[in-house]
Amino acid sequence: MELALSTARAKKRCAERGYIEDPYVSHFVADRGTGDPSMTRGYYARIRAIELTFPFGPRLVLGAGFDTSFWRCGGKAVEVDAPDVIRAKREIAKRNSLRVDGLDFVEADLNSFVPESSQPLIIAECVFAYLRNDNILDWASRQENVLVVIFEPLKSNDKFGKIMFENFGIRGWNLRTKTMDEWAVLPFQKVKALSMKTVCDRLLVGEEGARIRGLEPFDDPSEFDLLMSHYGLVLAANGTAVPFLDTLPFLLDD
Amino acid sequence: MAQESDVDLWIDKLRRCEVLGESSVRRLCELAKEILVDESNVQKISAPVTICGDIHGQFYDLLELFRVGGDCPETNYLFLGDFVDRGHYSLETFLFLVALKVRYPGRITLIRGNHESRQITQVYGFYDECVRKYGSAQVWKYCTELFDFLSLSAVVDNKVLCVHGGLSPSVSTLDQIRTIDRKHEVPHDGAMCDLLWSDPEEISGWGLSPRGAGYLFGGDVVEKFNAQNNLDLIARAHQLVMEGHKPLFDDKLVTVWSAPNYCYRCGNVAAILQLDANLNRSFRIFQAAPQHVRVVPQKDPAAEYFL
Repeated sequence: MELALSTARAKKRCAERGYIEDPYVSHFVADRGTGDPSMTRGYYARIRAIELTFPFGPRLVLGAGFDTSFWRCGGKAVEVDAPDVIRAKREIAKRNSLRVDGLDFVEADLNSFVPESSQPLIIAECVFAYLRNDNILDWASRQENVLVVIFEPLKSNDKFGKIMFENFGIRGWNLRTKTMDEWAVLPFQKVKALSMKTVCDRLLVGEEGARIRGLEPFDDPSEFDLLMSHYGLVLAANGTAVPFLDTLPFLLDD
Repeated sequence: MAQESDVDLWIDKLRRCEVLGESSVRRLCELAKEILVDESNVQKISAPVTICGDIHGQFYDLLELFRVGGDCPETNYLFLGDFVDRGHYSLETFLFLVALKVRYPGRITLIRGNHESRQITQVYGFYDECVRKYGSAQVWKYCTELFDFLSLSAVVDNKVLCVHGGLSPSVSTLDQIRTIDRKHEVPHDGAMCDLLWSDPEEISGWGLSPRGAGYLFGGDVVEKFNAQNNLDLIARAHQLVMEGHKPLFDDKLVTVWSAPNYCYRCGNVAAILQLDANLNRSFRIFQAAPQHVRVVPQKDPAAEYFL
């Protein structure tokens, strides 16, 4: 629950500062906490990149928390999370008369959750690192047509990476995660593993890029690059998802 | 008018990372203003001096800096700005340095960084910290009014120009810096903005800054500026350097970074630059203060990550 709330707070900041339009997130969290422009810009890139994959089809959102993308972007979605989070989300949606046709909620422990094949798009933002096994990934790799979109902190042995996992340890999380090279060889027909720094460089272009850069004073681009290079966006594709990858603007240069 | 003993009491309190009462902050800021108002935009300093880069509210790491560099007033210090924002203790950090300035005005020089600004502190944490610690923005107002009096640069023995960010295309002589009317909020462009925001880069001439303020300037610009003003070196801060310091352009410019493990997550070491009486340079490297001496605010996470 604490993770769901903290991510919702960050997304509320993004909305209030004009990065994304999200009239729904305020229903789920009252305060916007604190956070500097590196975080808001980073959340913007993460949200944009992931939502660009939505045209692929109905989606299964693992560890959905208080994500509002169903109301913001439409489509069909199944959202899975711990029972306390899902119950709170269902309750808040009902109280605020948010649309739920096309949205299914599943209360589950993701360590033992088995997906169904009717959602070809699987979204997993900061999920697999918290799990005790790779069962969901193994299951997905055996599907004929599937696109798994993964956002995760990357394992790395440089100073920033070491401090990151030390800090996670202080919060009591012993995260299981992979290096960029390990992500790139997941057993799918095609895998694209990019650092979020690359994703940001490719998304923050043109008119929209200029709009985003103009939203807030931005102090230290080199520190932002350092932060973003320690997160990865991984797209693992089988079947019809393989040609779909070519439609994603942040993969066009690859 | 505060007595010397009041200032000593404030210093003792701040050294323990305790905040002062609102009226003490007001008096401290008034005393500091009386000193800073007479300082030049290019404040003259004599060597030996120890030059320090960004601190960013990392109070316990500032104590580590003094442990490594020696206490004030025994060591003569110059701080290149960015005292506040991002770290947990911007207020204690800034007021501690200001109290030292009031007590030992000839032994510590504070110049303005781009974060000593009303706009930037509302985005990067100092404003929120003041409101959290006092329940109102009054103390933030006292501090930001004092920011307007901070000098823009310093020059050591007429040979080393010290500035937070770097050079400006509208400035080719030190005299042009001296004529800037500095006692207001940092503007969005122009000479005063550039001195606080610009960065050196391996280019020739001037370039656009990815920060959206100030410029990038190349080695040729530095060469020309130093020659024209009879300078040996530009010492500046403003950019995270993993090794704590970074020479550029045949040692005609150096970046000094004094916030170890910046934002409690970057893993970098910090440095201070010691200039001896003959302006010989040496760096002292230091790490973040060990965990057991820190008091992390209960409600705050140690560092921010995407979760």
